[in-house]
Amino acid sequence: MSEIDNLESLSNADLRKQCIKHGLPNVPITDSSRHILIKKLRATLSGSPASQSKKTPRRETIHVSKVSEVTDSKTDAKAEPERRTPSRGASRRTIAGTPTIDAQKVIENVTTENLTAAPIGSRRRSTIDSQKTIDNPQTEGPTPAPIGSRRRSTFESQKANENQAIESTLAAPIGARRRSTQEIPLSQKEYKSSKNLNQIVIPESDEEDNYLVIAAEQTEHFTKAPITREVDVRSSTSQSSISLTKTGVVTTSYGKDFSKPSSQVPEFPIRKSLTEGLSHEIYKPQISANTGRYSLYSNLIQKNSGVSMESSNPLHSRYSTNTLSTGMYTSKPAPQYNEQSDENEEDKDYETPFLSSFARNLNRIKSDGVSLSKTSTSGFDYSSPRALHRTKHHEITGRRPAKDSVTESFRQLLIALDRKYNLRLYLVLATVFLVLAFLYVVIYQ
Amino acid sequence: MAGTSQKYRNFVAEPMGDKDVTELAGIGETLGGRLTEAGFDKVRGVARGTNFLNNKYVNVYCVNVFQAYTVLGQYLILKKDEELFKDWMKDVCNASSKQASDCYNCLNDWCEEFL
Repeated sequence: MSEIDNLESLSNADLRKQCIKHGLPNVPITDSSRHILIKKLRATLSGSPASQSKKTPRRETIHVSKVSEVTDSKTDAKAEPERRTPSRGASRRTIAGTPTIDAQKVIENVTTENLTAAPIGSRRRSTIDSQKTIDNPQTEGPTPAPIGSRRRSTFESQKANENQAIESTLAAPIGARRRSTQEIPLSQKEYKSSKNLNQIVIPESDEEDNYLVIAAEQTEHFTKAPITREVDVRSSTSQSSISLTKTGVVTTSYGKDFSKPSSQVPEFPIRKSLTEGLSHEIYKPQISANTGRYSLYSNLIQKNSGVSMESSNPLHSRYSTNTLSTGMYTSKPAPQYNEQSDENEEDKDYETPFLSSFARNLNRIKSDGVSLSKTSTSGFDYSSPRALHRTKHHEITGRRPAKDSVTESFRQLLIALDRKYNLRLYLVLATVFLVLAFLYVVIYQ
Repeated sequence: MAGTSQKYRNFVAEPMGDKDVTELAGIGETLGGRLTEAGFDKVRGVARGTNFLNNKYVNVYCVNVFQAYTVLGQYLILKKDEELFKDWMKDVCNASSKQASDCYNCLNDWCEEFL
């Protein structure tokens, strides 16, 4: 301490000597530099705490960050899957979502229509799901159950589910449950009884079939009716999204088991809690929770499109939902209209043979682009017949001034713009994907 | 150098002459003010920061301006030692690490260019 105190009173020359003595750089001591040099000298005199104090915090922070990551992964085990599931959601949901429709349809159609399986390349998954639904007697009934009452035991959830199903009121808190109760009220009640009897035992498919026939009939009725239901389901999406996060917690380890071998599951605590806390029986409802969630989602979409499609046949609507759920919201549905618009185009091409093939192609591309942009702007309404009218209208209006060269050039410019829009859209999609991937990598790895 | 600022490039591009401290990279108004306050005796008590608005003499700041070359002098006195200079910056005007290193890089590259 005496040395340190002496430093202030030392002259510049002495200070410099001290500095050289203690290995500090030989720097002329001036009034301006004196202060920091004294500081340095003190630091070195007191065992160079300054240099240590510089370095240690950095290391500590690094350590802390690592530790905090681990602790965060432990503590935020609930929160992380929340983020992960939505980020992954696009791919997973599409894959699992379409098959659940298929699975439900398969069940509903009592395996008379095996044709309906997997309209888009998700046949493998759909078979898995259908197997799941067959394996699990609960899936039809309890698909909603785990979403709502995942934290309970299976018995509790099933009992609660039973009660609610018997009530079968619209006030059921969760959309999936509501949907199922609405769609399959009769079958569900009976399912409950069968459920209690055989939780693990696989039921006879014939029983299922009977119930599912009824269910299919009722779903047909329901798909035609319900605008109000759509609103209900939409309102329930928030609830379902909240509960989805829970499913994420529960199902991550399970999803790894059967569906996603490649998906990394770094959160060991989750698995621990699962394997420790839950019996094996619970896994089935978890699967069903998974499927139920997806089916909810896809059903939601289906209802949206179904409402907009009005009385179109179910196959068509289902395809539209599939394209929807694949995430190609704007580009996928376009082919439908392109086909129709192409037909119209061809008709008109016969009417106007004087146009060159190049002009025809331009028109076609342009009409496609118009329909694309229209659908993209109209969002979910693309499947509505109004969109078709719009595209036709655009075709006609775009076609009239075809004779003028100026307008043609202008049209080319429009085409270029349309292409540009497409490019932008894809760019946006790509950037969103990249950002998501980046976040995913940064946050979870 | 990755990500050099416009200020850095402006400063390094030419001899510094009588430039203000605030033209050094990493030193803004705040640090410039602190340097001026800390400012020893080597300050010019001349109004430098004058604003002309509509050809009118609006504000005449009688500012003691800490010249950039005084910082350069300090930098040279510390024998271009990076650590010492940064510590000096932090000590004199409470500069952050980034500000200090920006200023150091600025002066260092200017010296490589013009000294």
